Amino acid sequence: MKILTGKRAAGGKAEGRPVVVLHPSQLDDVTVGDILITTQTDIAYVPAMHRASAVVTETGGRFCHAAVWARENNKPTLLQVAGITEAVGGIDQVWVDADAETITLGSTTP
Amino acid sequence: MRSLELRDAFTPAELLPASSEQARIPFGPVGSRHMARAARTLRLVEEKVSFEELRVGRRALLDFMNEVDDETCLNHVVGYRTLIRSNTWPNVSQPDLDAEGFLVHFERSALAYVNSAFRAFQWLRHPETSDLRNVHREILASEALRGQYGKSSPDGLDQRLERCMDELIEYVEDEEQLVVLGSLPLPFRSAESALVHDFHALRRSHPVPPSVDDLIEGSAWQYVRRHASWRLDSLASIYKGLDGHQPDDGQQRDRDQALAARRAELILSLPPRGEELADFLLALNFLNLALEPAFSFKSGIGVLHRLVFLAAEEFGSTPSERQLVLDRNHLFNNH
Repeated sequence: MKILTGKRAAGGKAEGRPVVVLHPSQLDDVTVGDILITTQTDIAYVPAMHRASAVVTETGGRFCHAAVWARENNKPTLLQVAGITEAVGGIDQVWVDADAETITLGSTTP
Repeated sequence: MRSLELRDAFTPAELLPASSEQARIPFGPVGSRHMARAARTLRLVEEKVSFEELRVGRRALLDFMNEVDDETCLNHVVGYRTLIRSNTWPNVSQPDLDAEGFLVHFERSALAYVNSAFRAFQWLRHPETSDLRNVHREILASEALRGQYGKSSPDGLDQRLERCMDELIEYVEDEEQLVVLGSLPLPFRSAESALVHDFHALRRSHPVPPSVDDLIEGSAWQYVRRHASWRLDSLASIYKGLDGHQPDDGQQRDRDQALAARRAELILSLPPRGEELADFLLALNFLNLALEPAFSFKSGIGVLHRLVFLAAEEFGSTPSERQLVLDRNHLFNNH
């Protein structure tokens, strides 16, 4: 299984179905417990971020909106995971370990 | 000569009397001048928006924004970003502008952006009343002014944040302490957290989305201004998206108290320069996290700007850079 790395915004672990959101029209695809995967978050993403069990973005620094929101809401969140929106194509389960700053892609338990 | 002209146009505005600038925010043993200024800026911007809403009519604004097609609204942020990135803007470095001066300038640009948005609204409602080219010129100037303090500017909010953090980290042990110093203390919240916090307050009085009359006349209006770009479907979408979500004010208070204690301890350990940087970091973060999403290009204010940009797409030409600079400076000095 593939493991990608990023920067921790807020710690914790979560596993779930990865849902890539590249446009606000895709936000309703995120159901409770999914892992929200995106390039960067936006205010419109907030309800979906709350439904998700973790958030993973390709960009963002320590005070980006996603990072601040993650700390305020204790939601496992990884930033700067290069290429994650493409890498999860065809993957039905991911494991986010924000403390270890990794996301594992696969369809079986690691 | 040209570079002098650009710099001279941004002479600092007259500062307010000391008494109004020394409002203290009670975290840490010392007050926070820059953070007080940033909080004041958000309040002034929202007051300006509120004033303009009443002037043009809340119902007129609501009716208009709800007629903007869904695709334009859904694509708004992406579309506006594309517009910013695909054009050249006359952003300049302002090395002589200190922290306080920057905050003053930022405030003026934010207020001017609101003014221009509502002038755009007047044209959008009554296009026969003025020439689109003139309106377009103002909107371009407004975006140029906003952008001077925005992400892509060498002296905008993002660059100032980075420089502040780069200097402040020399005074602390690690990034984690930097995060503590920059985290917003309650009652200040990021726009994302405010959206949820305010929603729970709204839902107590309006368990279902309020009617248009309730919205226009009541306390719910503030919500649709701050978080829904004056659109009923955005409001309905928030109700749907947060259905079942429970408030966690207790956890947030606990977190805030722990953060406040750590921050106070850190502030005590900083020399004067470190303390000022921490204050400036908080102010910049607050503007970036709270004001920008609610009242900058991502908001209904930005939608009004973009609608003019879209209407003007048929123009083959735009004002020269020199004209754009002059128009921008005029807005800055005459908002």
